[in-house]
Amino acid sequence: MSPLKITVKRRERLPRKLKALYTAVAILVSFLIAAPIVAVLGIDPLMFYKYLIVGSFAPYSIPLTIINLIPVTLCCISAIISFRAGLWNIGQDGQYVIGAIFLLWIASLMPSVPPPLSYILVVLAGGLAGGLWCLICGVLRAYTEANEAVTTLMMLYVASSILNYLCYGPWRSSVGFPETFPLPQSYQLPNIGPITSGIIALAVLIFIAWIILEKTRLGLEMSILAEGSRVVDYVGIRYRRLICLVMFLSGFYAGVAGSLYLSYSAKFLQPGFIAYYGFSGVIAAWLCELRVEYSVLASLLLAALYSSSYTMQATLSIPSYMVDALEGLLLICILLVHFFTRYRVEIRFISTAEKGDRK
Amino acid sequence: MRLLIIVNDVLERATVYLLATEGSLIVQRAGLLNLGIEGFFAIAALVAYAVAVYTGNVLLAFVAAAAAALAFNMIFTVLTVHLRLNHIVSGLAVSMLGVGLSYTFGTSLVGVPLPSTISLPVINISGLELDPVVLFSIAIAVLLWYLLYRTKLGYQIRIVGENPHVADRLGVPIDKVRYLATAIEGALVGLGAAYYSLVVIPEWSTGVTLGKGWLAIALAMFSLWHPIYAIGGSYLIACSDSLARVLPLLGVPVSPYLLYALPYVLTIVALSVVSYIEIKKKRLGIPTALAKVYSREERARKYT
Repeated sequence: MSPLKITVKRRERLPRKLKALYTAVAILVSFLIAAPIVAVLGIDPLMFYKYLIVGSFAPYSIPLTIINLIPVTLCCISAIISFRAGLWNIGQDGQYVIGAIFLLWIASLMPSVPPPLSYILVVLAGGLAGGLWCLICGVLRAYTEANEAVTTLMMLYVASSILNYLCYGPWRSSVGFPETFPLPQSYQLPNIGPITSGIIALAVLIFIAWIILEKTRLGLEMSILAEGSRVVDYVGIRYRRLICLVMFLSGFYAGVAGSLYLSYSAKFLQPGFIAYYGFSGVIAAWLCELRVEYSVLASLLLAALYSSSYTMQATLSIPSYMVDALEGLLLICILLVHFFTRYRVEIRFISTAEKGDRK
Repeated sequence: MRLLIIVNDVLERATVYLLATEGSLIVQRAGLLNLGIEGFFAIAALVAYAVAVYTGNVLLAFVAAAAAALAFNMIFTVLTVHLRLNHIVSGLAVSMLGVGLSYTFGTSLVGVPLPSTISLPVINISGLELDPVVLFSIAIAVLLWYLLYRTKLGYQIRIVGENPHVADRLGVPIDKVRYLATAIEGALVGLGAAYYSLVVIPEWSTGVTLGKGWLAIALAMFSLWHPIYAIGGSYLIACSDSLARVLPLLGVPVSPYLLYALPYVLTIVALSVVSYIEIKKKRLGIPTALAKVYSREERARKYT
C-alpha cells in the first residue's frame, strides 16, 4: 500500500463570490496555457495577448464582438434548456444552419412582406425549422431511446451537407463563389449604429427563456426529468412528451440564432456559414452554470474570442482553428473548477503506526 | 475492373471505421461515452502524416499515431474517471482541443506530399488488394470478441459498464479497468486515423478528419456493442461512403453534396431501429451505466 492516501470528498456549497473568483482564475489559466502553444507556432505570446484584447474590445472591434455575441448567446440558451432537462442536445450548429436555410426559403417565396411582419417571420421561421430539426432527435430519444447526444451530432453533418448542396447547387447565384442569392431587403434587420437591432430580439428571447425555466411548471418538470425516470413516474409527468417539447424548445433557440444571424449580418448563405457558434454556446452554458441570467456574460467571452481570432488571422496569421484549441482548453479549465468547487481533495501521508492502528 | 476499384476503396474506408469503432466499442462497454474521439482522431492523423513526411517510415508513423492518440485520450480519462465530470462535456472539450491543435499545427503540412517510401505491402488476390492493416482490423475484431466474452478482463469490463456499484462490491478495480479500456481505444483509433491520413486520403488538408470520430461512436452503438457485428456496420457505412463518390462518376444525376450525408442518415436510422429493438426485446448489449458518472460515496448526479 502506498504511504500516500488521496481521498476525494464532497464539500458544502461554496459562496457564489468564491465560485466566480475560481472561474475567473480558470479563464486566466487557460489563456496562460495558450502562450507556449502560440510560441511553438513561432508567434510572440505578448503579441498574441495584445491582439486577443484589441481584436475584441477595442472601439473598432466592439461591433464585431456584438455580431458574434447574438448567435453564441442564443446557442448558449439552447444548450441550457436541454442540459437543464438532462438531455444532451449538442448539435446546435445543425439547427442553426437549418433555421437560416428555412428563413431564406420562406423569404424567397414571399419577398414582399412588409417590415414589422417580416421581422417576426425571421424569428418564427428560424425557430420552427431549428426546433423541428432537433425534434427529430427528440422523438427518436423519447420513443426508441437512441442517444440524443450522438444523433444531434450526426444531424449536424446532415445539415451541413444540405447547406453545401444548396450553395453549390440549386441556390447558387454567382458563378465564382458558392453563394446563394441574398435575403430580400425587407427581411434584413436594420442596423442602428454599431448596435444591431438583433440585440432587441436577443433581450426578448432571453427574457422568455428565463420565464420558462424559472417561473413556469415546465421549467420545474425539466429539472425533475433531469433527476431521473423514477421521480418522473412518481410525479406523473408524461415524460415522452416532455422530452419532445424540451428538444423542440432547445432547437428553437438554436434555429433563431441562425435566422437572426442571416438577417442582420450574413445576408446570404455560403458553405462557411457554419461558424460553430453551437459548440461555443455549449461552453458558455457550462461557464454560466446553466443559468440564463448569466448567459450573456459567459457568451461575451466566447464572442470576444471569435472576433479576436479574425484579427489574429489577419495580423499574426494564426490559423482559425487556434480558437477551437483555446475553447477546448477553456472548457477543460471550467470543468476543473466544477470539480474543485464540488469536491475537496485530501492528501495525507499515512505513517506506519497509523496503519497498525487500523488492524 | 471498375468494380474492383470500388471494392478496394470500400475495404480501405471500412478499415478506418472498423478500427475506430472497435476502439469506441470497448470504451463504451466500460461505461464511458467518449466524444473526445473526434479530437484524438484528428491528432493521430496529423502525427502519422507528420512522422511519415519527416522520417519516411511507415511503421514509425503508425506507432507514433497510436501513442499520440493514447496519450491524448488520457485527458478524457482523468476528467471522467478521477474528477467525476460529465462524460459528454468532457468529451466535447477534448475533441475541440484535439481538432483545434491538429489543424493549427497542420497548416504547415497542407500540400506537402508524402514521401514515396510510404506504402504498405499489398497481397494481391486477382485484383483484390489486401494490406496488413485491413487484415489486422478484422483480427482485432475477433480478438476483442474473445477478450470481452472469454476472458476475466472482458467480464470485468462488461460488469463495470453494466453496473459499477456491483463491480465495486465484487472487487473489480473500476478505475484500472476504465484506464485500460481508454488506452485500448486510444491505440486503435490512432491506428485507424493513421491509416486514414496515410493510405485512404494520402494528403493533408484542413478539416479532413471532421466527423469520422463521432461516426465511430454511433457505429459502435448500432453494432450493439458487439465486436463482430461492428465489422458489418463498418463495411455498410463504408459502402454508403463510397457510393457518394462513385455514383456521380457513373453519371447518376445525384448531387454528391447530398450523398455525403448518407452515412450519417443511415447511422441515425440504424441506431434508432437497433435501440428500439433493444428496449422491446430486453436483450443484453447496452452498457446500462453508459455515460453515468460513478463515484463510490454517492449517487451519481446529472450535472456533474
